[in-house]
Amino acid sequence: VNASGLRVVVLVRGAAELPIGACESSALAWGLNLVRGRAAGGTVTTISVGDAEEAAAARALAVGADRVIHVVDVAARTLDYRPVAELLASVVRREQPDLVLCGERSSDEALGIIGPAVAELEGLSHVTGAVDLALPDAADAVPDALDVTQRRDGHLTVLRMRLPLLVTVSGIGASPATLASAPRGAIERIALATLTAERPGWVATPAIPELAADRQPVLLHADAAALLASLRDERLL
Amino acid sequence: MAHALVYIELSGQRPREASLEALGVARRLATRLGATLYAALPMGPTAGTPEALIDELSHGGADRVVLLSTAQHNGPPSWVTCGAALAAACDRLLPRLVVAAATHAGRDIAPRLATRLKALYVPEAALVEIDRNVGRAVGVERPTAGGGVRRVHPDLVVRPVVLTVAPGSYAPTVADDEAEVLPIAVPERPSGAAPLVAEVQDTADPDAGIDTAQVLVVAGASVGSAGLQSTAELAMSLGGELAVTAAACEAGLAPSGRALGPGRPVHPRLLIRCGVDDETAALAPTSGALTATVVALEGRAETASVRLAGHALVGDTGEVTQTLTSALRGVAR
Repeated sequence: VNASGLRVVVLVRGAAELPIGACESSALAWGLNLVRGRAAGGTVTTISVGDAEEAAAARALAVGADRVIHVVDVAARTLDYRPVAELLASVVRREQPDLVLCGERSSDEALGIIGPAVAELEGLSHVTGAVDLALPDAADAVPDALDVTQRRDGHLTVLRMRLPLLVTVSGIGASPATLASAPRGAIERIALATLTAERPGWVATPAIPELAADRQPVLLHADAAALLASLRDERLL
Repeated sequence: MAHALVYIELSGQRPREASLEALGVARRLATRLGATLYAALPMGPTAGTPEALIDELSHGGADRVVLLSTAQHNGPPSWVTCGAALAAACDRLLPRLVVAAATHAGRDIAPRLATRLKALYVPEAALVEIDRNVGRAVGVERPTAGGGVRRVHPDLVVRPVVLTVAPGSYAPTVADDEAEVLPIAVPERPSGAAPLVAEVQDTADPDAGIDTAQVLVVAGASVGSAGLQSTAELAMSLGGELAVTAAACEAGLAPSGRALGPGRPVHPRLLIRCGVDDETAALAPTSGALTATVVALEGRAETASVRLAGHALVGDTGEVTQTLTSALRGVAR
């Protein structure tokens, strides 16, 4: 962490028709909380990839991000996870942050892969499923560390991790209230061609086709007795 | 010959049951694909040869047990502690199929291995099968946000596939063969470069019952504080746990530890939603979409909660939950 403070990057979805997801909202709130609560301050920059309407970018700006970077790619929603992660990783490399935050799961595809993929492509360590983030007290011996709380196997475990680091944030739990603040900058657009020039071999691989699976229609029961009888038949009670 | 690899997570000195289930799924797939099945076992450097573990993994269907000894193996299983070891195994074996249990560690490790292998990633996969007409593709269903389910037919010859499978979804395999042991050297990080500095706190989670419950009753925001009480009584009468949606949590009905949503895997057999309506986050894939029988108790039939359930009862949710609780208690008496 340099003298200008903690540099946090938050990855958010960029599709105009989607609201920012619960996990992404939480990631952004934690990023703002960490930077604003720190004496040395810092910056929160969001990075999104998506079509030109930039809904997510605009939202990030509205809730107080210092900088908002949007990679304009109208086909992003149809791409495989890997080319999207490569674009995000390219911007992360440019920004050289101390901490990269993103949602544990997106609100549409819910793969949970973008964060770990960006970490792999950039050689960062990563931690998933954080429910709480805190900077250790300055008096603690390890500089440039982050305490990450995970809920796992019946325990709340706090891991002290060395920065730089990528953390995916769970959309549930006590994320800090979003700090109301005025927009601090404008949306910085990066054309797709600019980034792909930096990544020879980048291919706009489409996502493998997926079909909606058949599902049994819901069984509407007339009353509680009928429902319980049905559940007993299925040996669920 | 193609290789398939399963990440084996330990609980104490034994494989986790969920890892043995993942091994069983992989055994079935590997046999049909004609692949050699490797059980990859990250472990500490002083552990020696774990004969009992190797026997157990042999009986679980492994053709070979990959011993990945690394000094980075201190701390809870995750990419940080096991990633370098598993990456070394993947770099050496170039598996076409990787399977991990969808535990906290599996969900942490599998997507990164997928990226490393340039593989397709299918989390929380269900109904894993070999396409009979193709012979080299797997048919997999996965839950998506909003309670939907998608089916995909990746071709393992074209691109590797990394799957996670929900704990409790599959039975372990029982095999008679003896697995060979394959030690693979793991490159060590330079001293002082370990990303995990320390595990500074480990406390019991007061809401951990939700994560392992066989029966979950989930209250949405619309039940209100009065309805929450009857929902809690229904959960108790079923021997289950009460959970709430994120919206209910934000409305102050329950603490955040009781909330379900993306990023919190639960795998109940029976999941009852009360007053969840159209809260899409509550219908998210990690809320037991594929592994549970879902019952919706809603005030209106035209809700996503009802549409995406297996059973539904429509009426005043407070009255419905009380009636169900009374009926269950009557049976219990």
